[in-house]
Amino acid sequence: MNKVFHKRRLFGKRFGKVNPGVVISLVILAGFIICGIFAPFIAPYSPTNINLGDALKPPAFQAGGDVHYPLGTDRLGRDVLSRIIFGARVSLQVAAIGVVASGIIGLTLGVISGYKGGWIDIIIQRAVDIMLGLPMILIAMVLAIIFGASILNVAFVLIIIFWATFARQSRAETLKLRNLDFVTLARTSGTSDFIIILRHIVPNVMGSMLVLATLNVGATITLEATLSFLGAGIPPPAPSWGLMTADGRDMVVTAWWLSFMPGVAISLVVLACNVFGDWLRDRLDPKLRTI
Amino acid sequence: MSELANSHLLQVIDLKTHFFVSRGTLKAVDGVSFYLNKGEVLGIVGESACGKSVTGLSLMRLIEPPGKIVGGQILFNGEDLLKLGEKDMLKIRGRQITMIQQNPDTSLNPVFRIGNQIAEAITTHRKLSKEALNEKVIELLRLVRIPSPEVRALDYPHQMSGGMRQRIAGAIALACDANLLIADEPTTNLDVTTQAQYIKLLEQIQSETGVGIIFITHDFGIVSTLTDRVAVMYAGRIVETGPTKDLMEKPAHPYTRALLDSVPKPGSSSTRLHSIQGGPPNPNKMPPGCRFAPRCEKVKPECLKEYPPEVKINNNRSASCYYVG
Amino acid sequence: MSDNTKTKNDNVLLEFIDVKKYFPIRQGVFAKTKGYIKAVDGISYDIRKGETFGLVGESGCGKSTTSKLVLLIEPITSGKILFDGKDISNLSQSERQAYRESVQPVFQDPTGSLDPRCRVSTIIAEPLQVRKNMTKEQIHARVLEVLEMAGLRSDHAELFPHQFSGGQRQRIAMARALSTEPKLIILDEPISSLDVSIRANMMNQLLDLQAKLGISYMLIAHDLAVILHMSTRVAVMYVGKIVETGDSKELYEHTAHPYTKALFAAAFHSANEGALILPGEVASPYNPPSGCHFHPRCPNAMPKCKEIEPLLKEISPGHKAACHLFK
Repeated sequence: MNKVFHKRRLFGKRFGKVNPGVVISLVILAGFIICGIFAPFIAPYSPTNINLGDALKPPAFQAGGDVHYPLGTDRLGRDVLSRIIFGARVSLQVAAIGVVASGIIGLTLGVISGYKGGWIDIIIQRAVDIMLGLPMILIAMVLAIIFGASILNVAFVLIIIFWATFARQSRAETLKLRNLDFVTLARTSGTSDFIIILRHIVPNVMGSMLVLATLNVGATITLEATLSFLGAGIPPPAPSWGLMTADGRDMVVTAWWLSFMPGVAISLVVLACNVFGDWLRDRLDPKLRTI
Repeated sequence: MSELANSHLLQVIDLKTHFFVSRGTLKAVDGVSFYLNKGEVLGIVGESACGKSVTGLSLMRLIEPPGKIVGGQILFNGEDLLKLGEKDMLKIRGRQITMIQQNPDTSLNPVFRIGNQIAEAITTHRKLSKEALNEKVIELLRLVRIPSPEVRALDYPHQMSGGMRQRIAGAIALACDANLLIADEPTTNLDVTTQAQYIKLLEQIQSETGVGIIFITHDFGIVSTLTDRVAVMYAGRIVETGPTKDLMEKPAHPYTRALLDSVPKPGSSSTRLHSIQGGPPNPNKMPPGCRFAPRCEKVKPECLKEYPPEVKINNNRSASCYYVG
Repeated sequence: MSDNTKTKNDNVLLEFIDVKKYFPIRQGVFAKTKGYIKAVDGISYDIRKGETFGLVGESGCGKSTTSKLVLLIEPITSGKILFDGKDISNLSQSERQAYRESVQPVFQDPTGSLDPRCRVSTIIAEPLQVRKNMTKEQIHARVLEVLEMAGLRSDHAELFPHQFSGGQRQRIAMARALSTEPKLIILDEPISSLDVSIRANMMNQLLDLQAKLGISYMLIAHDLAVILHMSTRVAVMYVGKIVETGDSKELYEHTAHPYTKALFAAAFHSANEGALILPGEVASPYNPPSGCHFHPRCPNAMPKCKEIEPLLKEISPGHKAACHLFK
């Protein structure tokens, strides 16, 4: 039946119709990235500016709120909105480290593992299994106790966890590609393995890596928030969303906005990442591509 | 018309199945008419994407969005299938009209014994006692020439070879004593010698059960051995139809002739084959006139303007070309 | 069959001498070898300069494995393949590269043999880029030259494979194979994935190119009609062995082996004229029948076919068959 259809164009009009959920996700992600990069210009106040006189102001729309603090203030009188905007910067850094660094490491090891096979494959795959089996949050907390909580600590944990997911997927894709005729042809004409990997394997693996990266952005942000919440992540007074949620948890009843507002930020960004990632996967999936 | 319809098992009139995709409308089947008499074997021959498989699926009303049957009639025993509700269609599909597909593995479930799968196909449409059911399963296996059917009924699909699996798919299709069997390239995945066996088997089944067969294929060779009549499809339309032997000996439409000429003949000493220039048209952008005109050697100005009418050559032969007769 | 590295006939390009390829079947925790799949089991033939040698057979007969041996994708288990008189399984680094340039493949599925992410120019230039002595301009000029040879236009070079039809993709694969000026092209089912109406065109083009360039083809196909049309000489394979070989005309006019006869019946659909339809299916190369592998399906089987394996014997000049029917 598929024969009736002509091959969907790979390039050009690649993305076809877009549903509204994806548009909203893209807007959220764009806002998140802009906030992260231009935080000092967007945020009305410094995230660390203490103003005890204005402490614990509720959001502007609630009785007793102040229009100068749209999302209220925390117990030291810091503007919650400004802290969330600067928190985007922290999350963006974490996502960049977690996804780009672990993506590069995972892709490299996965492709080598899948293409070379043999002992290299076995060693890398056992490493992947071990990494995915370790209780990472526990390890992060131990590291935080030994070295003190720091952004480096978070980065380390993220890379250790996420490279394995990239490696596993890129290996699976490489195994499929390795047996395709164009790779066999490249081999029979004497092309070196290094060039085959660069020319034929990596470009064909990139699509699914991009999808995985998008989905992992959401996961890294969640993990950073978790670690910060538990005190093993970003040290105060840096405005991390996870840290802010943790700060407000003993005042949930009296000052609900302290935990709620950063919680909403985390949920929105993670949800947007997942929606966008799912859509990207559908568009790039070679099985769906021929329909 | 109704008088005619009574003598035919199946009559398809001006069937149109289109696919509505973002880039436009793909007219996969665009005005196809043919008939099949009781106990007859009709071959539908064409290249990939000519609409022959979509025609087969349309007869079963198995077209899924974005595809839709947008016009025409499918008269089966005089009743228009396109007017039936899905519930009534269920009684016909699989019971009176069945299908064998190219890949047997898509119609066999790997985790059930083949005997049970055939039994399931029988009991979907009627209730039988256990003994009668067993007997019927063995009978069907015998019909498709499975050696020692009592033993093989207990096999799982993976324990059988490709040719055997295709036979089992045939047995399942025949489980309900269907009147019409649509075989969509059932031999394409088989080895050449196994292919010959399968064709022979279909012939035997046909003469034993009297089932009407529509055989969809790209291979004129198979058509010549198996079918009584042929319809040649090109770009969503039937360009020529007639009794197999007559049509293959004296093809009327330039496409049919070119297709027959392009196949190497045994023992011919000439090294060059007659070749057809270019490729089939994009179903998205059909040529305005005759769809074969851009590739036709005998093309004339009028061919490019309007689609040629169907011309009767004799009682049972016709072709859609300005230069027939 | 001497160990002499120089072949007797100067006209011979590629020579198979009792070539065997066994794949071990490993099972269990310790990967113990349980048996062998005898994919290619002792075949000998030669391909001459400028001719098309057709290899025909059904699935599992070893014809594709044979091409993998020639292309150095799989090592040979025993026997020798000589190319221009040299054993291809022990070539020096530079000899090996020269050999790879002389022998180019075209595979069945043109979609799978073209990387969707590479431009046509990159795909065609790949075998040339392995050479260190060509400039970018020289490579580009050669790409355009072979594109035209294969019946494509020079502006096709900057497009991607998905922008072409199936037939054009197969031409791109052909252009790539031609780029290194090979002496032998291995055509593995080159037309079976193409539409019927464009097959003839492709076959004509292949024969034209051969006439023009004087290259040899090793043509692998399951369709005897295509093989006979294209080839000068033919070998029919069944379960790892050659059962009949000879000039294609001789083979057609004086078909000897019962299996070849059955292939004829299938290929030319003479089934309704009471011709041969074989029972059963192709035997497995893992556990082939004793004696003549074909005996369980053979209409002429004799008691000794079950016990004694028939050897390939000359039945008329240049025409050999492995069957007890011929003495």
